Amino acid sequence: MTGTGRQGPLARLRALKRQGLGTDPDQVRALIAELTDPLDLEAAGRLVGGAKQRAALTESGAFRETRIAFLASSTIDPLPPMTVAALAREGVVATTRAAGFDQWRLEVLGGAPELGDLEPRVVACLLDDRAVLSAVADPLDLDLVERRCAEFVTELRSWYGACREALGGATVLNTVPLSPLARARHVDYAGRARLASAWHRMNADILALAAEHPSLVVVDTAGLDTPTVAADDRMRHIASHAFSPDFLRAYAEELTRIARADLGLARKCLVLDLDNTLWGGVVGDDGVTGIRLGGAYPGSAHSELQRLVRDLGRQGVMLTVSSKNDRDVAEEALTTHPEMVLSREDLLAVRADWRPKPDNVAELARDLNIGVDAMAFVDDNPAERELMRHALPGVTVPDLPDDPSGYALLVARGAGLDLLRLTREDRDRAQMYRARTGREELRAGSDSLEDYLHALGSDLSLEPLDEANAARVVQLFAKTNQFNLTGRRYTAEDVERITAGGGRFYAARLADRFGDNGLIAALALVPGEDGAWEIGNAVMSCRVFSRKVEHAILGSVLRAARRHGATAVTASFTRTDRNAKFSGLYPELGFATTGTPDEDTRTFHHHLAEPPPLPAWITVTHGEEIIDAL
Amino acid sequence: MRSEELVTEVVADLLDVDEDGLTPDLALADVEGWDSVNALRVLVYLERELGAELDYDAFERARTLRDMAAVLDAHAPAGDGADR
Repeated sequence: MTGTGRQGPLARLRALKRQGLGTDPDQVRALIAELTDPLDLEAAGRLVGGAKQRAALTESGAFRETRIAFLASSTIDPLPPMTVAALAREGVVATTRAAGFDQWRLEVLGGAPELGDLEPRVVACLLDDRAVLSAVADPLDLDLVERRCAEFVTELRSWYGACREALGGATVLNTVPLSPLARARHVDYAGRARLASAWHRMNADILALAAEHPSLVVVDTAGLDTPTVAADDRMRHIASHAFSPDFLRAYAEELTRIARADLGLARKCLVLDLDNTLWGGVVGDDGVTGIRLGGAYPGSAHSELQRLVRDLGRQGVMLTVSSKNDRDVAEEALTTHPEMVLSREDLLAVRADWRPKPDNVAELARDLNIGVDAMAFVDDNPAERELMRHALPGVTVPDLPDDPSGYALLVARGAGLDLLRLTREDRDRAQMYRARTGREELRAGSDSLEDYLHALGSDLSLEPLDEANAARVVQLFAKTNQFNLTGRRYTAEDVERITAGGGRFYAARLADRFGDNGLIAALALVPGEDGAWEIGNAVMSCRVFSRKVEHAILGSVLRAARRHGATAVTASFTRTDRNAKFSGLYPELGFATTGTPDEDTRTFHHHLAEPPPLPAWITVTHGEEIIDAL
Repeated sequence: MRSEELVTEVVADLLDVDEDGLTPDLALADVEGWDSVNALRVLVYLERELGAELDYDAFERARTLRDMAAVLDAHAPAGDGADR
C-alpha cells in the first residue's frame, strides 16, 4: 500500500494541513502511523515540518519539542523530513537544520556557523565510507587503508570534541558501512578479508567512543532494521546519495528513539495480554494444561516473548497484565503452569476481568503514578489494539505480526522503551514500585498523616555529583515536570560548564522501611550576588511527594549556606503548566519574595537568620555537611 | 490511471500544491517549490508507483507535466497499471 491516492493517508494529511494541523493533533499522529513506505514518510515530514505547521502542533499543547542538527558526508535530503514525520507520530515536534553537502568537518571545525543558533538537543552526523576512503590515494594499498582506518578514529574523536564545544546536545555517530564496490574492488579473498578486518576494527573503535563520553550515542548500522544499506547506484551518481531510502528511514526511526529518550519520554511500563500473547491458546477454553507454552512451536515463541519481557523487567520496565479472563483462572495459569518463564512476582499488577482494556490501562497508569504516554500495550488482538489507540492515543501500541514467532523481536524494537544510558534507578524501579504498594497499605492503616510519615522511617542522604550519579542527575533534570522549580533542564554539558564556573550539583537518595527509593532529587547551586548562594533549580521525583522530603533537602541547603558564611540563599520559581502545586514552597521555607513578580517567575531571598526546622519524620543521614562552600 | 493523472497527483502530493492549478502545459519550473531535489523525489516516487525504472535523461528533459507523462508512457502504456 502506498500513501498517494485521494483517500490515502498523505492526501488526508494534506487536507488536514489546509484545515490546520492543530485542529486534530491526534489525527496527525494516526495518519503518519499508517505510512509504511520511506518515500511517504519523507513526504509527510515535509507536510508537517514547516514553521507554521510546527507552531500549530506546539500550540495544540499535545506535542513536546526538540531540535535536531544534521551533518553528513553524503546527500541526506530525505533524512530530516523522515525524522520530523517519525517524531510527529510520537508526539514530538522537531525543528531540524542540515549542514551543506559533505560539510560535516568544516561546519564543526568552523564553529558551526550554519547550525549553531539552532541550539540542537540532538546532533546527528551520518557518515558513509567516503568520509574514510576519499583520503586513501590507492585503494589497493591495504597498508594505507589500515593506517587510514586507525587514523579516522582519532580524527573522529577530536571532531567529537569540537562538535560538543560548538553545538552541545547529544551527538549521534554511526558505524560506517563499507560499500559493495569498495569490497569487490579486491579480486582476492585474502585482500577482502584484510580490508574488512581493518574496517571492522575501525567500527569497533568508533563504538567504543560511546563509553568515553556520556553524551555520545553510536548507532551500530549493522543492527538497523532495513533490507538494504547502500543507495541505488543511479542515485549514487545522480545525487551523491550513499544510503537507500529504507536505510535512511531505519536511521530516522533510530534518531526518533534517541530524541525521545533525550526528552525523557521512554516508555516505562508494559501492559501485556495473556491469551495468545504471553501464551498460546485461551486459558478459559483450553484450561491451564491446554495452553501452549514452552516446548515446540508455537509454545516456544510465547516462551521467547516471556524471556524477553522478563529481561525488560530486569532493566526496570514495569510489567503488568491486562487480560479478558476470570481472575482466578488467569492467576492459576500464571502461578501454576510449569512452563511459565515470568514469575507472578515479576508482574506488578494483574488485571484479569471483563472491562474494556483502556479502563484498565488508565487505572494502572494512575496506580503506578505515571502518564498513559509512558505505557506500551502488547496484545495479539487487532481489535483490542485499535480500541486502545482510539481511546488512549498516548499509549504505544506495537502492531504484532500474525505469527507469534515474531512477537519477541517486535516488542523489543517497537515498544519505545529505549534509554540513552541505563541507570541503577532504572534497574531498581520495579522493586521500588512494589515497595510503594506496601507504603500505601501502611497509609491506609495509619490514623493520621504524621503517624504514617513517622512509621515510614524515611532516611535521606545527600551526595555530591560524581561519575556514578551524573547520568541519573541529568536524567532527573530532563524528565521531571511536576517538582521542577525553574524548568531549567541541565544537560551533561550544562553540568560540566556550571561546575567549571564554580557551581555545584547535588543529588539526594531516600530509603524507607519498604525499600530504597533510589536517587530521587537533584539540585544546582550557583554563586549568586554579593556572596549569596542561588538555587539554579531543584527537581524531585513524584514518587516521594507528600513527605516533605523537599523541606529536608532545601532546609539542609540553608543550613549549609549559613555554616559556610553565605550572605543569603536566593531562588526563583518559574511557573510551567505542571508545577503549580509547588509555587508556595519557598515561602513555606521562610523565603521572602523579592523584586516585582512578573506573571511567570517569582524570585525569593532567605536571610539565613533562622533556617526552618527539618521534618521530624525524616532522618537525614548525610545532609548539610555534604554541601561544600561555593 | 492515466499517466497524466498519476504525474499530476504525485507532483501535487509531494510538493503540496493545489492539483487544480496543475494543467498539462504548465511549465514545471513554474510549479511552486520545484527544484532539483523535488524533481528527484518525484522521479523516485513515480518509479515506485510504476514498479519500473524511468529513463532519467528523458525525465530530466521534461519541461511540462505533459512531457513527464510521456516519459511514463514510454515505459507503462496508458491504461496499464489499473491494479496499482
